[in-house]
Amino acid sequence: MDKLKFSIVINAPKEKVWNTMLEDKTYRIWTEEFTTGSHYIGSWDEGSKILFLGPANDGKLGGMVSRIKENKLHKFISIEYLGEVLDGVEDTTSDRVKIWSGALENYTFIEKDDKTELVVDMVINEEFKEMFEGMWPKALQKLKELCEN
Amino acid sequence: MRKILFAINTTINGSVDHTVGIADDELHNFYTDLLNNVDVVLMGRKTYQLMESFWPVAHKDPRSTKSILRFADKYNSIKKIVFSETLKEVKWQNSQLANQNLQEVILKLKNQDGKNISAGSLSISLQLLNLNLIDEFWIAVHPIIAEKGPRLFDGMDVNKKLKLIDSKTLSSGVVFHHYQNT
Repeated sequence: MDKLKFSIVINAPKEKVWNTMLEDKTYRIWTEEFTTGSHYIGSWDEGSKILFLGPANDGKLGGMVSRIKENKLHKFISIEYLGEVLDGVEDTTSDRVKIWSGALENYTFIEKDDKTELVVDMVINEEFKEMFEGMWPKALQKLKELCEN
Repeated sequence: MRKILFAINTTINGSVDHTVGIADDELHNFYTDLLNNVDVVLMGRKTYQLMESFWPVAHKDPRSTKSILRFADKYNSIKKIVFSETLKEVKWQNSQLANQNLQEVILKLKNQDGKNISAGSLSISLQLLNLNLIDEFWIAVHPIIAEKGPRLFDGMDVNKKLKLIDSKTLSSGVVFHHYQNT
């Protein structure tokens, strides 16, 4: 597992950045950089289960099963990975998914004057590290454009 | 005559920590192409468990790129012989537990027709190196100085000289050195 960190400064208040990042309609737009068709099912409420999904190469839904570990409105979201979704089926128990145990993806929203610095911390298995290092900056750039227009 | 090949990722300071390295599309493609001339991979338990947790389901992961999937297809379908004293069964496609020791398996494989044999893990490669049975090496040196990790060929019992055949540099800065046994 590798830890990755990304950040971007967005010319919008943190409430706007929070809403644009997490609401379903706009979430689907900025996450297109990862996979076309990226979306989530569930809620961002603290303690809630949330699935992050996208179509895999075989056309079926794949992705991550997670739980919202922390939600500090407009300031901080912590996503705890619990397992994976393969062929549309959740797996939080097999040996395979134990690598994700305790892994977190965090979004921190820091307000500076009228701008917001968004910091993303995440972990990823090494096969996808290079890919995500390329995709996250583009996704955040797209999010910035959505927030500023 | 079937050859025994060994390919590995390593850092400038010889670390073979599998979490360190630049695993981009070009690297995956290079390994897939290397396996075109191989029809059996020998590995130990650790490598088996590591690979088996990822490659069989690469197609179900939305993040997999075409080159990851190409490698997955190659590695999933290729024959794999696993050497382990603790594993009771192996479930990965086209894999089997070795029922003889490494030398016996090598002898049997070399006496059969087929493509080349890949020493697909550190434990296997070290044993084969000490028996002087590896014919060709591809050492991928990543442009990284690692803080930790096991050292490549730690446990070698002699100095060994190889012959450099060629080198290939990937755009990431990874340099594959291709050596022949002397």
